[in-house]
Amino acid sequence: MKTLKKISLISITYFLCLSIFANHHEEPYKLEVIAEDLSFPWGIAFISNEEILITEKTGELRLISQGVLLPDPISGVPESLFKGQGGLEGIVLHPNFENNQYIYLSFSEADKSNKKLNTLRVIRGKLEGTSLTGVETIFRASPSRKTANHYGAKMVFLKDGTLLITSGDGFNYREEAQKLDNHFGKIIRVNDDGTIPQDNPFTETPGAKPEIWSYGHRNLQGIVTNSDGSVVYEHEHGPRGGDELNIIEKGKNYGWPAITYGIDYSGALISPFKEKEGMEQPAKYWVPSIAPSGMTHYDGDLFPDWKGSLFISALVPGDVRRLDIKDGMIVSEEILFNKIGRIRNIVTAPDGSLFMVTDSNKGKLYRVTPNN
Amino acid sequence: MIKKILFFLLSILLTSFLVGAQTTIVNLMWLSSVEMPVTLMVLISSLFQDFYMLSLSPVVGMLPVSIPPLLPTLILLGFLISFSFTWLALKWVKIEKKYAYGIAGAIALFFIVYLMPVVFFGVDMLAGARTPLGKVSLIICGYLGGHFMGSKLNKTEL
Repeated sequence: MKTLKKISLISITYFLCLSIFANHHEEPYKLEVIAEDLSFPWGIAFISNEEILITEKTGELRLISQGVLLPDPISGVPESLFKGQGGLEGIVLHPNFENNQYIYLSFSEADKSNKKLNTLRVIRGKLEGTSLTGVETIFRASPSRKTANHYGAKMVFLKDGTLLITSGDGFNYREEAQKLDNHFGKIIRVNDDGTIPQDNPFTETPGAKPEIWSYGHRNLQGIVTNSDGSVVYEHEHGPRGGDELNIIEKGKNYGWPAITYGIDYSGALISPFKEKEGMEQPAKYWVPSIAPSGMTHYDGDLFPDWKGSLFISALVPGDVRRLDIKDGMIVSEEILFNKIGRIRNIVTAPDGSLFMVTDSNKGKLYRVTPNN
Repeated sequence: MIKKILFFLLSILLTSFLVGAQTTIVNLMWLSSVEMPVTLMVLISSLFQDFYMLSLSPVVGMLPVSIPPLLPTLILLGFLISFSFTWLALKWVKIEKKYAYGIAGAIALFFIVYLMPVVFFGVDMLAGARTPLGKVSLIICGYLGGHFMGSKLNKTEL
């Protein structure tokens, strides 16, 4: 009887130790809150490690300096339409920002002539202290729409100095994504001053908008290049299922809504087809949806194991997907940071740390650094 | 009474099927116009799939628990209100039930189709409702569902 008791005691102690050890799995990173009470933060841009610009969907451009969120927003930012999925959204710095101080902002804007309509507009202006001056329009999506959904509104500079802008399908206008005479469901390419590069793919196509770089997209919420700028990655929301990660090439058709892995929110088919010759397949797709909301290609030094990975923030259920890429192929997917809620965006800081914002009227800016 | 409930449920199912079929046809017509291979088999399988997904399949993932399919639930609510008014109105107005309930069904669909964009920031959640012609055809689906209900009531009560 005594032996039995001893065995039981040893077994219980063993399993307790095992369980404590198993639960004490230390993450290789730590999260710290840099700023809070942000009103639906959306875009993030680094002037330096110490100065961070953040757009708030409600219409303000905020500056975080030396870890402190300045109480007053940047002045001179044009009024945006905060409605549905619209508001002040994307931000990117000119590649030569140090010398010219240009920043680019994308936002939804009500039509001047018809208040029932609105559209996506991209502007640039000079950041002088805490003011934006000399604002000029770089791009305005045409035609305008009645809906306040699916703007896209992400931007990235290519290594040739041209700017890619994502322009969503406006939800109700999905079929327009297959036509070249409008900006719904397109990736747009313009020069840094808004003029149209001569080597755009449809400049010679009759009736086509010459700004178009690629088409057949839905709601494009992430666009980045790899380290040397040779590959452009883009992700977009599918409907119910069918979120996609695409590798973007000049003039290509990405299929929406003629081919899709998703179905409509009502449950109806959008298309029974998933592939067609002449239409590109995604590099990866998600069913059910994760609602991808932002992306960064990690090339920092703080996390050597993550170098070369794509990080995609997701609103549903709220996490970040790290995609490991080998020889241009996505070989694995890891779920990270899944305890802080809906994540609106993720970017890499100049020092190699990762920054994320959460999607809320009390949004937070998080910094991710190694645990050691 | 049981018969009336059965007819009521059947009228909802019929309307739901018609709305689903309208969506299917609108989608396939466009797909065909961009040279996608829309065959008879594609049409039939799409009709069945849309009927199942829109009218029979519970909605999973929107809430922590599965909920009944949204389209027939919306139609049920619309029909409950409009048919109740019709039942009351018929006490004073002399009009054949099939027409009265038909109009009630059309009015229910009118409100469903026109209220959706108001709730969803201008978005038509039913793809077939995005054009004026599409909206009219969905209202006709509502009329047909109501007409079915009214004609069955005529038969049982005459």
